[in-house]
Amino acid sequence: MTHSKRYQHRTIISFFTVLIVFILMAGGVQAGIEPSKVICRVETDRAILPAGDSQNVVLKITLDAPPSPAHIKRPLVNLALVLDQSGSMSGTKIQQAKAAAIEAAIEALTRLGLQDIFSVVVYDTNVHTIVPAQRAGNIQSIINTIQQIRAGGSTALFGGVSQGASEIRKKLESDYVHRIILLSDGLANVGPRMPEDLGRLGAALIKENISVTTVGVGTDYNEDLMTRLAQKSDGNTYFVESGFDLPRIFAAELGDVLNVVAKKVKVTITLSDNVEAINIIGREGRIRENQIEFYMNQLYGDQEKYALVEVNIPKSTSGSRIKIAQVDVTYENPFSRKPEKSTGISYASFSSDSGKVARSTNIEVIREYQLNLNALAQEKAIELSDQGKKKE
Amino acid sequence: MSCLIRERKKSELSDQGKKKEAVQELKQSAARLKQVGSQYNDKELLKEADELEVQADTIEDRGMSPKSRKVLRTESFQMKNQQLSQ
Repeated sequence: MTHSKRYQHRTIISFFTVLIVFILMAGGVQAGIEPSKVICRVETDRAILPAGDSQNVVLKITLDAPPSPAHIKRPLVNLALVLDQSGSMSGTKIQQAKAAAIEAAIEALTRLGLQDIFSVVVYDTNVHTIVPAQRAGNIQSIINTIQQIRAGGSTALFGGVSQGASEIRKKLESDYVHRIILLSDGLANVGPRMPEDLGRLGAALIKENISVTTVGVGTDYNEDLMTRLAQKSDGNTYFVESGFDLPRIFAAELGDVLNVVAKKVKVTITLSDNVEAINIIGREGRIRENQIEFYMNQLYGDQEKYALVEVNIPKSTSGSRIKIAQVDVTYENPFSRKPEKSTGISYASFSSDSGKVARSTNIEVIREYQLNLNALAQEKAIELSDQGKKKE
Repeated sequence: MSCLIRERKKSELSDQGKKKEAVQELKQSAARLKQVGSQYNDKELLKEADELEVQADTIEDRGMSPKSRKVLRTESFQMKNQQLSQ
C-alpha cells in the first residue's frame, strides 16, 4: 500500500471513528408532552382557475413536519455503517478529512447519549461485520477495531449493504429509526452490481422500514447505482469530491436521523369524480385509477416534504367551485408510538376574469413545479449524454 | 480519410454520446426557468437558471465529465426528494 493510500485509508477510519462516537454517545432525554402533528396542505398553481374548457392543474401536496420536541425522548436510532474497504478506497483524496472529523467528534460528544444501536460492516472481495449490532459500550474497543481496517481487494457492495441490513434486523422489531449509511468510492464488481439490482435491494429494505443513505466519494463511483439504492429505500444521497466534505455530510445525515418526527408515512390522494390524474412530477409514487399514493419512510422535524401531481379537471362555469381532491396522510408518531392521521382538501374556483386568475397564482407551487421539471431535464441530459457511448 | 482515422473518429464521437442534445436539454430548461422566474420576479428560479447555464456551458466545452454527471444526478435526486441535508 502506498503512503497516499494509507493516508486516505486512515482518513476513512477517522471518519467512521467520529461516526461511532457520535452514535455511541446518542441517547434519549426525558419524557414529556407529545409533539404537534404533521400538517397536510394541498394547493394548486392558481387559486382561481379560468372558467371554460377542461384544463390541467398542478397540485402540490405538502407535509409540514412539526419541530422535534425539546423535552421528549427522541426515537432511538439503529444505524449500520457499511464501509467500502476495497483497494479503490485507497488514494490521496481524503487527506484533510481527518482533522475535520476530529472537530466533528468533539461536537458529537456534546450532543448525544448512549442508547442507540449501531454496527459496522466492511466489504472488499468479502463482507465482514467488524462491529455487530450493539448498544453503546466500550467505545475505545470499537474505535480500535475500526482503526485496524486495511484496504484491498474488490468491491462486494451489494453484499456489504445486505450484511448491514442483517445487523439492522437484529433490532428490527423495536421502535428504532433504522438507517444504513453506505460510503463508497468505487464500482461494485463482486455479486449483483447493476443499478437495477441495488434498486431492488432498496425496494425490499424499505418494506422493513430500512432506509439506505449513500455517500459517493470522488468521481469513480457509480452514481446511478448509489442514487437508485437511496431512491428506492427513501434514503438520502450525497456526492463529495473529497473526504474533506465528509464531516459536514456526516453531521447533516445524523442531524436528519436524530430528528425524526414521523415514521411510515403514507399519502393517499383521492381525486373527485371527473378529475383525472395525468402525471406525477418528481417524487416516486403510484397512480391507481382515481387514487395516487406516495410513501415516505420518515419525516424530519421542522422540514417540509411534498409531492406534485398534474391533474385534469372538467369543464367549468364562471363562479362555480369544485372539490379537486382529498388527501389522507397516515403515519406513526415515533414519540407516542401511535398511528396518526392528517387530512387536506383542495378546491378550485373558476372565473372568466383573466386578471383575477392571474393574480391568484401561487408562486410557491409554480416554483417547485419548475424546479422539479428542471430535475427531470437534468436526468434527460444524462440519458442523452449516455446514448451511443461506448460501454466502459 | 484512411480506414484507421475513420475508425478513430467514429470512436471519439461514440465516446461523446449525444452531448449536443444533452446541452440543449439543459439550456432549454435554463431558459424556461429564466422565463418563469422573470415573469414572477422569483429570485430562486433566476438563480437556478444561471447555475444551470453554467453547468450546460461547462458540459458544452468539456463534455459530460464524471463530475458533471454526478452533480446532475445528485442534484436531481435531492430536488425530487426535497433532501435538505446536502
